[in-house]
Amino acid sequence: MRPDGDVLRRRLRPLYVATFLQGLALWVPIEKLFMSSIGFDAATIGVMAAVYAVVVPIFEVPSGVLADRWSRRGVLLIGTVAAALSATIGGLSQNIATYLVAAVFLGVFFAMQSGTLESIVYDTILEETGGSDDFERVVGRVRLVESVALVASALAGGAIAEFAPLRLTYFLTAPLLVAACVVLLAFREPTLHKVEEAQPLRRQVATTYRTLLQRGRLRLVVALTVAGSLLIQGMLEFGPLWLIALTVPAFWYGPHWAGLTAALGLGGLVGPHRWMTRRWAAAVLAAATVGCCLVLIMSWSAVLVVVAQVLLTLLVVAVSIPVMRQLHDAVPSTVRAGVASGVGTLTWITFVPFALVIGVISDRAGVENAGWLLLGIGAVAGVLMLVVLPRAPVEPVAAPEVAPAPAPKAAEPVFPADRFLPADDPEWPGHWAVPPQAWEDLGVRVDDDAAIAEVRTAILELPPQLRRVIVLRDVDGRSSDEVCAVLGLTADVERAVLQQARARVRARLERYFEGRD
Amino acid sequence: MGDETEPSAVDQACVDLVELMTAYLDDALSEAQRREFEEHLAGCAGCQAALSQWRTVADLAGRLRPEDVADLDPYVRDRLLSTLRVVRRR
Repeated sequence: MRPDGDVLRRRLRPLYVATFLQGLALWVPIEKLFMSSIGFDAATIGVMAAVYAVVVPIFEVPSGVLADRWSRRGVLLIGTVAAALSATIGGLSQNIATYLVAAVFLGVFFAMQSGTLESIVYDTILEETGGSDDFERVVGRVRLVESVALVASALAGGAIAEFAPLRLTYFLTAPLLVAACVVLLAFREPTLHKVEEAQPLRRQVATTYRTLLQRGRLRLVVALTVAGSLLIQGMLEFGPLWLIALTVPAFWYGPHWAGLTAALGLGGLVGPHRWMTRRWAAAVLAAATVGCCLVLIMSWSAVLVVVAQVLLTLLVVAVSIPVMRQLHDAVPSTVRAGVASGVGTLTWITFVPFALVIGVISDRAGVENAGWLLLGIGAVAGVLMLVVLPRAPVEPVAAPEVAPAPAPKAAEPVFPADRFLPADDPEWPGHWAVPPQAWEDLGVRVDDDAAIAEVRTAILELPPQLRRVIVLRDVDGRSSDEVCAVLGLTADVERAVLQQARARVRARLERYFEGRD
Repeated sequence: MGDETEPSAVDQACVDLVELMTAYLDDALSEAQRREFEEHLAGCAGCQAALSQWRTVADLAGRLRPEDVADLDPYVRDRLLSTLRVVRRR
């Protein structure tokens, strides 16, 4: 273990503890029971689902932008306070209306949490280790902690409800959330997202959306994240419908639910492994995803269905971990939480029609036919796994600047000043003293592999700001307009940067060619 | 400088001209600037060589594949490491 490991682990400890405490929602196992005791029926439960569907997307991206502009820990704290309020109001509820208020607060918690937690993890790792290699491992561990907390709260909540009023599970949850707040206060927040100068809000929001919606590889990463979330959510929300359709004894529901929640944690353990990003692994994972969906359509036996659901959940969670790293690798710190929250919003927006369609199909044609929708999403996810998982270099387009990068302050002259006669030269002011030679006349090949290799080295040695522009313009052959749009540069700045980059490559080539003959 | 006998009053100095090469190749100069640029170029072997070198740089870069120069991981790391250094220095 590297010496950094201990420091990193110590610094992340409050986050693990807070995540565990937040996950201990003791009321979850008895929620439906409690809701019907205060007057909810199927229709009003639908209204509550709609409340989440509206509240979470409204708060998602703003909470991410707030996290990027102000403080990520602060946003997590607000979310945790909202969750504590939700538990308290929920426990006090005597009717549907107050419970809906509690649901709104819970929606705020979800929105504040999603995107922000991963971003804080990513930046902490980057700040401590200078790289993102540990990200998958830590996120896997966070998933594991969440899943353990979920199982523990399911067991504990059920047990408490056996001998105490249902409301007590809500009231006991609130102090756990307050404790989570206290623990979060002990966490030292990374400051990477604050390094760059603060941007006007409008521009930051624009950059957040532009990063999220830009063409290229990031779009595939986002699509795979959304497809994976649909499959996981689908299993958690609708998985039990298969058991109902197969009329299995009630005994099965316990192990089924335990299997699904355990899969969330186990996926977190599998996901960080290096082999996940090999080509063969991507093929196996894609085939297994489609296979599990097929089993759900066939619905031959309850055992097979439960195994398929648990396996599907496990492998999609596992895949989501390296995919999440690719997402964060491609996004600058200044808009990290905003972009991650934007992906969360997309998931919510797609989940609502997905859930409605599954509901309608199961109602009219049986749940096994709803499996066809899962198969469609599973097939898309499978194809995306084949493309995204084997980690090819991500195009630099994936990281647009937040601010138009300023032109290098003291731009170096294209040729060293001593190659020209001084400005006060009586005869040829500013003209060549040592004119460049036409390389073609030196009697060397100017376009062989060695020369190209020299250009490559020169480009790789450029500072990133210069490198990005010359790679997009000269290597990728993109137009000036395109590059300006992607990097948020004005045409003049873009040209000045390209000029600088070419000048440095030229200087190196000149030394190379002239030293070669 | 071969053919020139005397720099004309409107003629640019080479030191200024070379700064316009990217703009010239992008066709981003005004009509007047472009004419001036080309007039100078016609009479200046040094600037012709400089422009030809400029084109060689762009051509050779164009023969690289994006994956030769665009590995994002080290790229992101560089970028963030430099911001890290800024933080630590404070």
